[in-house]
Amino acid sequence: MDYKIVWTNRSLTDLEEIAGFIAEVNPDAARKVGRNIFKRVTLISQFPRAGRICSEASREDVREIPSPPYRIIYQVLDDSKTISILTVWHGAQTEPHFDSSELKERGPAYGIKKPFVAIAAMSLNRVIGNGNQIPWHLPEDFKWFKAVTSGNVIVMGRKTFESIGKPLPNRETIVLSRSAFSFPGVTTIRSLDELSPLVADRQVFICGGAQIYGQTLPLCSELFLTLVKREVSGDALFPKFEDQFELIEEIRDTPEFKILRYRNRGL
Amino acid sequence: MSDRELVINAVKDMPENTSMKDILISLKLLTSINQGLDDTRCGAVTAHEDVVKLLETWITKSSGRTAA
Repeated sequence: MDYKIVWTNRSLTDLEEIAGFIAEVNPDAARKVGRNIFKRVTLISQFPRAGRICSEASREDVREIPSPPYRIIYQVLDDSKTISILTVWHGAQTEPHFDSSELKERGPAYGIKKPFVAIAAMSLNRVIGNGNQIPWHLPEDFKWFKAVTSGNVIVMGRKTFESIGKPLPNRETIVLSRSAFSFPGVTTIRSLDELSPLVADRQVFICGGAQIYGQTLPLCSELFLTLVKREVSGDALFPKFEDQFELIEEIRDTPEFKILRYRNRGL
Repeated sequence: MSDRELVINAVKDMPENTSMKDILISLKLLTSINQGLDDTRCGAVTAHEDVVKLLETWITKSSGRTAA
């Protein structure tokens, strides 16, 4: 069941300031920003724990989801099945002299999130792909993927990108490849070290395939794993991670799949 | 947790090279979060459906203010 959404007086003031500020010069742009924020909030109501824990608050129930350039910070109230929007934050409003290039240069102080977060779906027999395709169709899992990754950065290998065929909307797509791969709207990097200037204050999600997971899981602080409750045949398997990660949360359990959250013990 | 403890914890978790300006930005955000938490606790909240309607009134109110 979806959670009910309420806005606190604090977040109402934030939203009014944002909308009013933009509407002064462009009412249509203000409507668009408002709609985008509402869309993100609606996704949270379906997946309350899709957002990451807000580092400033350091509480499990206070989470955030990006709606660039804003951070929507909310509280999950499980007892009353309510999402309370606490604040809608735009850092630049407090620092009008910073432009985006300066933010990028100042990287770590603005929270470039290293290590990374891995997101994957695997079957009971560890299959994640077959013939470069996902061997199941689970619209609810796609929704989950969209909710978590929207507004952020997704990193994948070339073959995984080619299986998708295009950059996903509302996300920056980065392909990790040693070849001279190029595609409109996609950034290609040869190593994760090249990421810092590209990601600013967004979360980086590692999205596969098997080889990329194998290389990057030790660098991932968390793993969101959809466990598909069936065995399927396939040629790509999710690497062993159980020694390194511990289960911290079962986000969703449906007859077809479970969404599990793991934390890297070493990071 | 007291406000003092909240601030100390927040600053402790920041990278060593965090500047004073960045610390102040984070504390301002923390203040907003706490205001939101207080609002939730005391029921100072508005249903989402009403906020969707409010957006249009804010936009109408602000439209053309600069030009005027």
